[in-house]
Amino acid sequence: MATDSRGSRLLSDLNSAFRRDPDIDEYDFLPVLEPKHNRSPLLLQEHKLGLEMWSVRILYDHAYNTLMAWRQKEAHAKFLDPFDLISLSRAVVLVNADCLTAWNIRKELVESSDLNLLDDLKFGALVLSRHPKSPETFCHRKWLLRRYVECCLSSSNGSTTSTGSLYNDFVNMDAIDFDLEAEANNFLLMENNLHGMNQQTDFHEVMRREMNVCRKAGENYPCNYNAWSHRSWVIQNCYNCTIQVLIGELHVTEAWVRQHISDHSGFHYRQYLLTNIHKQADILKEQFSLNYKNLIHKEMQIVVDLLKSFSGHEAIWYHRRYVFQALCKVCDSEAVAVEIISLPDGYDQDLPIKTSQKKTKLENERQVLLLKEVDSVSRNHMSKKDTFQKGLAQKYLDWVQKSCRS
Amino acid sequence: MKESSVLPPRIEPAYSFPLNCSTNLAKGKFPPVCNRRGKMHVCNPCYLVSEDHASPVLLWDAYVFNSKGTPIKDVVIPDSAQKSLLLQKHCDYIASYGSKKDDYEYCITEYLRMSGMYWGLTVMDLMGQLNRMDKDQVLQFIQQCQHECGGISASIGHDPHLLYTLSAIQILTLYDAVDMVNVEKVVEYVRSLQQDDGSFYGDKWGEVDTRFSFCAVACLSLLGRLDAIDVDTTVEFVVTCMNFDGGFGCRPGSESHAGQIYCCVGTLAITGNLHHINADLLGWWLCERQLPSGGLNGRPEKMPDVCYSWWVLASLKIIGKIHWIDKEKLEKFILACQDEETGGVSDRPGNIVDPFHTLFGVCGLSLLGNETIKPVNPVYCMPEDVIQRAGIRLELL
Repeated sequence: MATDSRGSRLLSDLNSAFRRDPDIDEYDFLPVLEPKHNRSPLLLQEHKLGLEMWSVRILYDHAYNTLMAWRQKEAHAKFLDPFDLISLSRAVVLVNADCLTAWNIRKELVESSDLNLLDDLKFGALVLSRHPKSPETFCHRKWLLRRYVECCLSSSNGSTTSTGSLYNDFVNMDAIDFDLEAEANNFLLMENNLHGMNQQTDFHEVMRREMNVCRKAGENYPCNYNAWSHRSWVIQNCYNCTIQVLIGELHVTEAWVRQHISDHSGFHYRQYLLTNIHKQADILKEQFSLNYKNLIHKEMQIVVDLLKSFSGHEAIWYHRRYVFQALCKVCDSEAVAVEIISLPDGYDQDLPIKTSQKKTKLENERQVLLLKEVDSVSRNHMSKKDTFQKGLAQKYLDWVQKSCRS
Repeated sequence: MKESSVLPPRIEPAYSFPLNCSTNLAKGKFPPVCNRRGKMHVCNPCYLVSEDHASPVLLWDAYVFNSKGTPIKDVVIPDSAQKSLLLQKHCDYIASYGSKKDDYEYCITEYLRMSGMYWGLTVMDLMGQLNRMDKDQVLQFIQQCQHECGGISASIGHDPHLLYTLSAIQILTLYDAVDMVNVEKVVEYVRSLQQDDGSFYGDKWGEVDTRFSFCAVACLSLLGRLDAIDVDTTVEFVVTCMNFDGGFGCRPGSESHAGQIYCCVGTLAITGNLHHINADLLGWWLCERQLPSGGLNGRPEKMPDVCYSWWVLASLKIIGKIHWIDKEKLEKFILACQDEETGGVSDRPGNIVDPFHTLFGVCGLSLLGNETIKPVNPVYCMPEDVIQRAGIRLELL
């Protein structure tokens, strides 16, 4: 059939494009609806690949049908070697990034060592350049990263057991730049073997690139749930929520949220970081002489700044809810701490009375905190003419008064 | 003012162009954007000066402005929008959807065919015309999608997954024909995906998500086999995904999302654990999803979308707070998303229709009390009479 031969020709054009330039970093479909000249509909320029729209369907039909026939072991299905499978599944997911089965075929190829894991991470980044929220693409990446981390852990310690200390050991922060997001556009390390000499540097390089992938996806598609939840997954599963990384991420995302004030997912990522920093508040104090309470106050300052500059953004108001309830929790935990100190009494008869006074004082502090917050929001936002901003402020006030009473 | 010294904020590009731009929309300054049926949607940013002559703000199409020039992400429903429910048109749309098998769209959506069939068949049943669908063909198809491991795939030859296993069991329940597949093996498959912490993998490759907890629990309860899994740890895991705002995300610490909330609330409802929910707090968050147009979004500052008429509204129904929504406005929004020519419902007024939004639009109207549609069960997203027949009774709040 005519369509068939065109399909396989398109596929080989695509293969040769990737052969000519292994560093293609973006692709898109060009709005050419009919073949206009007798040339290949693939365009390759400066690492950007363009496919004329009319050819996409033909390419997809061919690649998808060939691949699925092989998968179903249909009688007429061709024998396909690993190279064929890599190129067919590549064509399928470039067009349809959520084709689960095509990604699974690639997982099997990684398992059989026919496909390099790092190459596939790089290919996934390319797919995300056009499908920035594709859930199956992120899901595949998580699988690859889990495998990569396991591989690094077992080879660096000669054992397959993965414990927390192994992670901490492996993720040695002395070697890492806080700025995980710094541009990592050279892919030299891709050529390296997984068990290469500079494995530790490789690990950080891979993770830094992963952060970059998440950032780009977050920029290409606002409020990108999958991109940001992938990013927090990496922090937890590849960096074991190490405090250095949390602080580093808190630092680099500040500028980002200041420029993406409508992006609740970006703000939520900071909530995720702060919540996990809170769990390690002691380490924070010991190693960095930083106080969690101060971090929360600083976050409130960011919120206040943004609300002053940009009117009418629900995302900022929602972030304020988180920050304020976190402040309240700090207040509560200080009260609890006082209670615990008061337990081993005995020799000082007056101590319990003193501490209980102090406890009441802290509870009062919480009331004061709430009153101050209500007052500050009322003063700054309730007297303006902007009814929309006023409405958001009112909803915020209602919320804190309902949710943050002690 | 300070505004001029700061970078223009990046604002989310929207997906649709309002049918009728409000007068403040800096008349005619938009790039030639077209998203009407069948046309390619180009999303170009453009610079606009807001009414009060503040600094230029980078804007995308599809914004509605309030009097101060603040963009609100919403649509404007034109007066000419459809106001009555076109049930017969929707039935015809669904009935003919599967017949265009050469269609590229049909081919490219094969990876989720099983769910697509569930959407179409369920909405047909809710509209009282399930008999128009080819039952035998459907049942045979499902049989062919069951794998050796017991799991069911989206289509023949695709890999099994919990998402499609649930869709298949829902269809079989609709037809009262679960015995068409090997039930024991389905149960074994679902059981095999549970982890020590109570969470579920979506398939053997290990992705964890609260959606899969719902799939597992809903699927097993429809089969009357909840005993096969550890329900206590299942619930524990879901509860660890609860956030300070009362909502739920895909994993512990993940952002609250209306779709994930539906899954988590549904899981707790099926297992009789709704007491874990702070209904006031969660209800508050869910109600704030309603926009001035009446439509619902799934997260703060997102565009309204008909499918959230289901995720948000069903969750509110389960926690007993559905009366907190402005029902009339929401109904108006859903009705405006109908296509009076082709039948079917789209995500927003004027966009292309699909079976997914058709189901959730019709389900939303059912929850709002439309009596020309069968009552829908808010937990299973299936007709209430089917759930009764399966012998399931749930306590809602």
